[in-house]
Amino acid sequence: MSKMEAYVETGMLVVGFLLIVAGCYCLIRTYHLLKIIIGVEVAMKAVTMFVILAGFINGKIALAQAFVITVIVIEVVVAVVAVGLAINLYRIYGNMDIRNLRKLKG
Amino acid sequence: MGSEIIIACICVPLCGSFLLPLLGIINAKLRNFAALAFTVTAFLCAAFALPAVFDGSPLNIHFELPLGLSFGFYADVLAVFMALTSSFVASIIVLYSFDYIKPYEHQNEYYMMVCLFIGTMMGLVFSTNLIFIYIFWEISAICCWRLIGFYREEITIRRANKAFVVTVLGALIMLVGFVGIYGNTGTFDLAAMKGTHIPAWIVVLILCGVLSKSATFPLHNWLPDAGVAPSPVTSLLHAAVLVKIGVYIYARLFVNSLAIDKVFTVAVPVIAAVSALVSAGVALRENDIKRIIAYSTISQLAFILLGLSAGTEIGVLGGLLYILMHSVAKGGLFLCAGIVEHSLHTKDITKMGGLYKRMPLTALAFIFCAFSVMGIPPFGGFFAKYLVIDGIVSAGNTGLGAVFIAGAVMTILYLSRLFIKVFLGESPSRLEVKEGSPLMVASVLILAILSVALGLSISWPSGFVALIGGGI
Amino acid sequence: MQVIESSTVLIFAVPLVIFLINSLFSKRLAEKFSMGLAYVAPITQIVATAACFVQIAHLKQHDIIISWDLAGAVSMRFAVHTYSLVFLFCIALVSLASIMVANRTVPQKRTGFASLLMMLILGMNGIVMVTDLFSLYVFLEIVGISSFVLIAMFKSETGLEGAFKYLVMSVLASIMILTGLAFIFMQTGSLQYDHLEASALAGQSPTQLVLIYAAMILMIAGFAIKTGAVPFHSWLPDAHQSANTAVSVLLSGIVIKVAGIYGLIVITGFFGKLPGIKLTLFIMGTISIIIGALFALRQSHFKRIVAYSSVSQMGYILLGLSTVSMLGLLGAVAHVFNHATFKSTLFTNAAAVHEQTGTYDINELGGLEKKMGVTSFSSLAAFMSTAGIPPFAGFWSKLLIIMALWSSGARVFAAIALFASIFTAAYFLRLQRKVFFGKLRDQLAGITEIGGSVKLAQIMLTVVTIAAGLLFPFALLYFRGIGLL
Repeated sequence: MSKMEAYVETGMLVVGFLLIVAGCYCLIRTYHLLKIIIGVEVAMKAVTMFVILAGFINGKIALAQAFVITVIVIEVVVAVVAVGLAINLYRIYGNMDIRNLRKLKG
Repeated sequence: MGSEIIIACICVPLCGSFLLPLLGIINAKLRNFAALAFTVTAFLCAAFALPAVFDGSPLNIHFELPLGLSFGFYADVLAVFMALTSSFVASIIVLYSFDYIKPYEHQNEYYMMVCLFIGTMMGLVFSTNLIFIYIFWEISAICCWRLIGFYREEITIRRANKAFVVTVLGALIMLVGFVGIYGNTGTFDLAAMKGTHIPAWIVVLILCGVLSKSATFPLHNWLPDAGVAPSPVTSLLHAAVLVKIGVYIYARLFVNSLAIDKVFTVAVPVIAAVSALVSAGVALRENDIKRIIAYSTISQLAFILLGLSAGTEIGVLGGLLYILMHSVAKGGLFLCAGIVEHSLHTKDITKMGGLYKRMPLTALAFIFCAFSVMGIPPFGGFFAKYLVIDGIVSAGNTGLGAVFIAGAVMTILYLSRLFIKVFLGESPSRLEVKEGSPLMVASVLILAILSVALGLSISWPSGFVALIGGGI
Repeated sequence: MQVIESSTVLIFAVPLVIFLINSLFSKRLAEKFSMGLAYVAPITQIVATAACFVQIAHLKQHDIIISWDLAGAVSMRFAVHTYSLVFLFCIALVSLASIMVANRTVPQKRTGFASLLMMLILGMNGIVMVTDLFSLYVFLEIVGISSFVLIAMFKSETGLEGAFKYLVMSVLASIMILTGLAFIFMQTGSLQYDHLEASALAGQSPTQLVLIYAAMILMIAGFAIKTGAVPFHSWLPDAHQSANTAVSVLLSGIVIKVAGIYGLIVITGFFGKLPGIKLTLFIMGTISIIIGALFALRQSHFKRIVAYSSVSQMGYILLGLSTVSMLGLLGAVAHVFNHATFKSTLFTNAAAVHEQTGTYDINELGGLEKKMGVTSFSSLAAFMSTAGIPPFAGFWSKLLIIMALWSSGARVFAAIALFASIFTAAYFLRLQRKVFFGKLRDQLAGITEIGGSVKLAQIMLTVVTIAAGLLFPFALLYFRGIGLL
């Protein structure tokens, strides 16, 4: 059983890191506002997985689930705000290119 | 007379200065007289402290604070001597500015800053805590900044910023030194650290502050540039009082309180010697009347620093006496330059000449003050200069003594040149030149007569200073 | 105890009630009263915190836990420390100033502004009073979301851009903080502050040690992003410049400190004994001070100069925290207070200048001193305080920080931090010279001093700045009275 658990733990950790890497890669690679938001969200999902994993390891899975539900709710609100910003930027520039955002520098 | 007299001495000008703009809204004359009254009060309070101090029972006030920040005010002979000198010259200068400043804007700010400056000066000389010394030091920098920038032109603002940045940088370096002392002794209280030996690097850090405030080579550059300020300001800050803060702190810390390495009795005089010669040389070549006197100030400050750092009692006495004589005489010189500038509207000495006919009293005052700065007997400056050089020679540094005698000769040269160019010879232009207003002339005459009187009755000031020597 | 408990209730309830009232009424009706109503929250909070200060001095105890039992099983615990009270006071003060500025700079969407402000206050109050890391994270997100919307709500190009940059950086910070949090949770099984002592975190096996160090690095980085410390500062000037000035007052004045610095205070409480954290914060702080000041020197946008100045000043606070000593913490918290006052003064001045002249470009300004005396003077006082020139308040907090650094052995950092003050003085001298001194431009001949609530805000903040500087010795006596020194 403990061997099984160890596999699950390692697997979740690896998948989580892969997801974070994927999200960050997306963030670096793309110039599209929505894709940036998607990349960030992917990375965020990995983090929720870490929280579940933590609960799984120390046996407080109920607490971890409560945390994760809260995190998901927050995350949705953040995503809504982000998409709202993206839509407003689209209305101004006519496209979703991040390279439009060059008004502020120095 | 209780210790409250020190509090009055500090707080009357310090708090009173904030009343001045309000009074200025009501009535300009009222404000002017209030400013004079506040400075004179400071002088009188310091004078009232004299009997107790002469009795050998210094006045003392103490406030407890955590972290070694306990502070207090302590009036010993040295502090009272500085307070008397600076508040007296300041009172004369306030009197002089009544007429000088009249045509300009921002008078409220002017009187407020002058008065605030006197208050901080009083606070600084009486403080017993390094942090509070630093606080007053920086307030004086703020006053200096606002007063140099009095005319609000681009160039004056830039020069004011330069002076501010140089002195604040010096003060910050000094603050590192103070924190270093705190690290060594666990307190900022001067009384608690009396006699402690301080490592050389801390002394060097503090010296940076002293040199920047007292405009000594290599941090002297801001002082000649600050000549764009109105003449009473230059006189108050850059000749008589503000630049003495640095040397006063040197005396207070390294002569009076802390023990330092022997090497500084050579190193500091060498810096002073360089400063004296370089600035005297520049003064010989300048054509701007205020810049000449400013470079002369740098040169004379080097003499003061020399006396204080020579490591002999006679040198210290000379240095302190020099502070008094130089304040009076150099203050007078700047005020005379102010009268000349005020009526000619130029500072270029090549465009002047033959002014002694038009303004005889100013010329007389100028030559008296100049004699004192040059060190011609029996003027006051002579005795101070003699003691300072005697101090360094008796410390065994005959070479440095010779260098400073050369510096003294150069002083005679550039001041004579200045006097000849400005007051003697033919007037190159037929300008309608008038003597300054009675109040202005009276103020410079007071200082000029005092330069003579202090020299003729040298036993009184030297006796006073000798008391400080006893306390060291 | 009674006083503190009821103050805590008030601090949470009042913003919530005002938020509800704003939402209940129709838009047109709410637009009229919402701004006036918003004043109630910060004023109540100021009174409540003042009462708590008095009470704490009376109890001679600087660490009080309040727990509310909800339905028996679940209990909510809040902590009131002296330093969290300072934060609460700053939140109230800066919000008050922000509302006063908004009176002038927010002509429409006043209800929206007021409601979001209430959410922001609630979130910040939550951050400084909660007693576990997860609640801290939740309130952090509330603060973040309200800030994004506040920056973007006026839908200007720059506002949206600044908000988006802030949002992306902020989400990255959240990812880091939450990952760190998960690692700590993995190790300890609890996120309550009092379970997270250094001993519980000192793992035995190498794996555990790796987890703890990873958690530490991630959380420091996350909170450093929220603080805007170098090298994570890029979003800060953009967001603070582009927001409506009333919002900039909030963001620079208090949000970066509650969201970033307070988090770091909590973190240093746990990880303070681990090697590495000190050095990290030392270096980050010193670099922030220098880079922030150097960038501020070459800007020409009024608000951008002030925003970069925030980066620089956050460096001092980081240095104070880096010592992990009571004195350093005290200095850092004092600097938080001072920074809150002088930075909101400077942004209020930016608002006043912009309202009267229509520009933020300091090259187009000049000679405003005669026309705008109050603004000029308050700007002077604020900049002296920023540069740490006595007798203004900034000097004292910097002094405490320097003393703490010195006694913890970091003498070089202390000296660098002190010398860097000269850059602060330099960029503010430049600002003052370009905006307030010099010759008045012809096109500015007709301008007048700003009136109404903005002027009141300037006067209020300047009085606090000067009074804090002059009365600081009494604050030291207070701290000694409650046993902190």
